[in-house]
Amino acid sequence: MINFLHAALGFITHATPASTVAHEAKFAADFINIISLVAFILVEGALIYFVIKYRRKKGEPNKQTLYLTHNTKAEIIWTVLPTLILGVIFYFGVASFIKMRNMPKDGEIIQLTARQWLWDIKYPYCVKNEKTKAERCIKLSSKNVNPTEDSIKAGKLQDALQKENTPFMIAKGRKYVMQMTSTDVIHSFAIPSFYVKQDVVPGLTSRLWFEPTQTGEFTITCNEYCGDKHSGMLGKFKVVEPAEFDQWKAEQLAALQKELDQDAAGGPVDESALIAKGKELYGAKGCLACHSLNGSPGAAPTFKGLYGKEEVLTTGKIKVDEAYLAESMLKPAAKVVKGYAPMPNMGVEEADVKPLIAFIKSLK
Amino acid sequence: MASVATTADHAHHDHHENFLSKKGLMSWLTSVDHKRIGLLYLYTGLVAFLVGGAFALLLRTELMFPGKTFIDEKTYNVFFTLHGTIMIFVFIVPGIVASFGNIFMPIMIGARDVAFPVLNRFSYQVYVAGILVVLFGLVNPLGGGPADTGWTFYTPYSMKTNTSVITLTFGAFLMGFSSILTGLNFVVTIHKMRAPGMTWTRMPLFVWAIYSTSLIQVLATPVIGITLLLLIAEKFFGIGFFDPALGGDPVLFQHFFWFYSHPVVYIMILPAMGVVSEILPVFSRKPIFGYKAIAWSSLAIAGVSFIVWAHHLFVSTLSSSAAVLFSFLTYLVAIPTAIKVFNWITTLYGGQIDLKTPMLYALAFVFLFAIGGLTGLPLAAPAVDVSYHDTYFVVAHFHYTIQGGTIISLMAALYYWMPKISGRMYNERFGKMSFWFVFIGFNLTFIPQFLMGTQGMPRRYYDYEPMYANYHMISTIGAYLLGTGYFTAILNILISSFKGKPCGSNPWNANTLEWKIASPMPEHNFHEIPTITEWPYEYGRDGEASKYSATKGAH
Repeated sequence: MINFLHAALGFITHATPASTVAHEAKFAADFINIISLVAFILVEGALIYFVIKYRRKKGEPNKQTLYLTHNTKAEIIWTVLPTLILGVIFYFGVASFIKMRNMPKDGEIIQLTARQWLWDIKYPYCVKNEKTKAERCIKLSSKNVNPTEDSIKAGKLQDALQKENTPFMIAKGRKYVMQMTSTDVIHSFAIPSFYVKQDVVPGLTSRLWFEPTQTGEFTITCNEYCGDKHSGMLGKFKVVEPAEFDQWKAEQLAALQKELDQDAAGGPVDESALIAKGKELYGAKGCLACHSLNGSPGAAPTFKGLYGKEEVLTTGKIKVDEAYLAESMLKPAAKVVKGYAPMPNMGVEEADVKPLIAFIKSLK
Repeated sequence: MASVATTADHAHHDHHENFLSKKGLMSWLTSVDHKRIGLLYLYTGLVAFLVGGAFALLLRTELMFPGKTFIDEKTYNVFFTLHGTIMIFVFIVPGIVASFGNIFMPIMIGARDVAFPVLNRFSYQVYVAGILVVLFGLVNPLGGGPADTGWTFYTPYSMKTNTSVITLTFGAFLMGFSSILTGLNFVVTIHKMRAPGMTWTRMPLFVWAIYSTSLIQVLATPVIGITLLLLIAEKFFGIGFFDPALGGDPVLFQHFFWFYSHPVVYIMILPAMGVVSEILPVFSRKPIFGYKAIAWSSLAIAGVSFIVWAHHLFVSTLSSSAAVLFSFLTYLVAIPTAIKVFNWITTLYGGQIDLKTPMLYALAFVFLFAIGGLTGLPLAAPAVDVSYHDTYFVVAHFHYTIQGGTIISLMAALYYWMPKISGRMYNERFGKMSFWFVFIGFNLTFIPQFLMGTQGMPRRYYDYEPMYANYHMISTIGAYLLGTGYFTAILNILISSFKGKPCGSNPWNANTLEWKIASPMPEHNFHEIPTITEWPYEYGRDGEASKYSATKGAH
């Protein structure tokens, strides 16, 4: 019996509702679950009651039982009544869904790209260099939190890794529209506390919106199976007060402006800063999955000693220089090293090329 | 109570012959006897069940603790693919229809065999070929290692990781093809070979269920064949159907997949409902309540099952208006399903309920299936499904319907009919004990999964946040109990079918025709085809079994 009570309570466990649609969706969920719960108690109650009441006692002889083959009245009632209840359930299930699906016109549009096995987002907040017309926008990437050799050694579980994950900053009380696509397979972008979820499909743009109603960190999960590290494809939104958000945004934009201006002036003189940036991208863009740093073999050539080396391509030989490296990052399928599969598109952008090359060069 | 059937017994006792008498592997593989073919299906299915179940226990063991427990992520993904594919395609889809349907449907309508016995044997051969192709696709020795796509093999992932989606779809198609043949065979048999007096409304409800299932099999399965052709056309001729790089739509595959696989859900559950509709009256000593409602609701479910597939796609970029429409259609299925549950429960009312093992399983079916059905209500509501979709809530929901429904019903059928098939009784105490392991283990496994799902725990996750650790631990313990229950339950049946005490022709005092002939059944079922004068549910009249018998040769 404890089991069944627990099952009943099970309908009541839920994610903390933290967005405007969440409250409506949770109301629909609670409403439907309570109806199911009442039906559950009535149906299973009758079943158990009849079994106990009409149980055949030990050694009881066969007896005349109730000869009852049908009862039109009862059957009409139990056809019509559930139909009406289902009609009500249908209404509530659909009403808040339509609100969920109607994108607000005043929402801020965040571009999201899913790839195996992390999320990249790009805010609509950009800076420009007047001279070169180059543009840079605030971008963030999540980190995969599946167990790795290092995390297992360190005894870190998923919550510890999640703490270190990049927070996607958003402001409380503002509306956001996620405009989403995938570079490889189907993913599903879900934020349990916002009660929203939408598949992210290659070749299509899908959308989802929310308006956070409380501050805090909220987990993002991938809900469509996408391969090896699917269960580590988490992220998190950090919801802050609008003032705090605007300050963060201003800081980010200032930093981007500085980078841009430095680039326009011929790039930073500080080579080590460039290498450090490249190292960060090596992790964030997922290069580390295939390219090792210590010469050990992987699904792709190691970065150690790669620069200046002669590689055998499927189409001929080439000396690894800056132009070749840049092309391989931006158009991976253009030249492929013999014996390896073509690299998937890892979402490397123009601005990432320079630091990455500096990083590769540094690995002698 | 002399009937034609008794005469048939005498005739056959003279020769000491029944359908199990001939020995040797070849006598089984070459047999066109529906009972032997059905038994082959049953044993093949049970082996698949044990293999698929072993993978489930490995998965649950890995999930027992957060972080890595004993296998890596890649192996985990392969294991859940094997678990799902083997359970669904090899075991549950052919499941009850091909095994008990084959063995008992012809006898229940008073026929000597199915309409096309050789075709029936061919169905089994195609099914075995399908198993081999699926196993080949799963192990994938020529491609990139074992399949890790999940049993749904969604594109483009399945096209990218390895090429086995084509092999797997081909395997599913072969098995589907086998079920088209079986379905066709059964539809013709039921239309053409009923004994004199066996009118449509005198047919046992199990036969009605098999009839509805056969219709779905014949109509739905061609779709998986079409999908296969499109996959091949894309792979080998570069025509883009599913691959966005070629201008295709990856979600189209999901439409095709569920247009086939959703009706398949009813292929799984309708025969299970049929079994329960037989067992409840026998052990309650009461006529089934609402015979016509149950029969018609089977057909209604079969019909509606074709137009609800897109409720699997509420968050797959389906348009909002389509989602609303499919939500509405999905609720239509709930009505005939609810009617059946009410009828079963009312059948118990005022009865004399004998809690033998088959009855316990049949009651557990009603209990668990009701939970499965009720948890379908929030899932069919798009606003709520957006939250629950692809979480453990869905995993728990479909295990309550498919396992709590089909497999529990198959266990009921095993305990109800194996004494008939082998002529020997199982051990009742042992049977009840393993039942309780199954029932408690089942709820312990899947209730925590509902609790996790509503909080957002996604399915097919190798690792999880420690906040879910307790739920996963309880679920794993439940799975071990459940595994022990099923294993001992099947062991009991297997041992008793060779060593059990002889049980006579009608141990349950039941009225359908199979109980009127000897146990094990004679090779040609009936010495003389019986004439039917009334429906089979005349139970509990002054404790007498029934007047449901054949007039010819009766007193």
